[in-house]
Amino acid sequence: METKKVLSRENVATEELQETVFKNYKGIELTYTEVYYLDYEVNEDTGIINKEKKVKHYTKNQVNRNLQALKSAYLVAKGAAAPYEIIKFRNRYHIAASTLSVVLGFSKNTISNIENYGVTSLPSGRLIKMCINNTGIMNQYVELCDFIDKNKKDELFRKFQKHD
Amino acid sequence: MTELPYTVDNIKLIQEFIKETRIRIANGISITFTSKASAELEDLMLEYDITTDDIEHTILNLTPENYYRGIDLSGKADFNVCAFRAFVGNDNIEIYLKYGLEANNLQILIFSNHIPNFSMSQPFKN
Repeated sequence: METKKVLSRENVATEELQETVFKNYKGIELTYTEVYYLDYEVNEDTGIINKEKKVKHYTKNQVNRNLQALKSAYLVAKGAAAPYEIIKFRNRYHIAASTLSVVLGFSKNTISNIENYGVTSLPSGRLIKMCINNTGIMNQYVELCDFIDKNKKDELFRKFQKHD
Repeated sequence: MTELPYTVDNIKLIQEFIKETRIRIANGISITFTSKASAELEDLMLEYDITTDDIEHTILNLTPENYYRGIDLSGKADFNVCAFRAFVGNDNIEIYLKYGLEANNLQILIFSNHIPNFSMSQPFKN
């Protein structure tokens, strides 16, 4: 698998690396995967580079991705749906991400974005979790959805019924 | 880190440091973080929803009045490092912000961005 490259201080292409991070925040154990690259350590008081030791560094883009992963882990710990739970639900009932999105009242790409990048809001994450754990609610939202036709609705009802 | 005395030359020096930072960012140089700074920003994000853009915005809006400590005037350092008392995010959270500008290249490296553990003076603020 090809990994991303980051330019080091000396303009040399270096690998983007990954590591599992365990963080305790207000008594909650959070686990997420962070990305980083290695570059020579800089003493923050003297400003001198230590050419003997490489340590973790982060580009702005990497920090953004890490913050997003951490936030998602935090929201999942607080009761939001995890991306894998949504994927599992969709696979079980064979529902497209865009269909699930509009049934739940989101815009078409929301579920796909959450599956790829994690949850960004606790209320929506909790709503999704509640819905995917209760096909009764799902049936109701399918019935009320204005963005799918009757055939599609019937198909979804059958899928929910078949697996219950 | 040393505290520079309040003189015209030193204010000019900090002005130049801030100006150089703005030029680098305007030219597309992205800020980078040490491991410690990244972990600190995680806490700021979880507690106050602070993002990298908020930190960059704060950096772009620094003035010499925000100065706290630095710069090493010996000219031997690979990075010119300076610390500021700054405010970040919509709620203007006070932070200790320390970053360095690579002397012979263009990197902007954030060393610290956290809630101060002590009351910070602003020696260039009269």
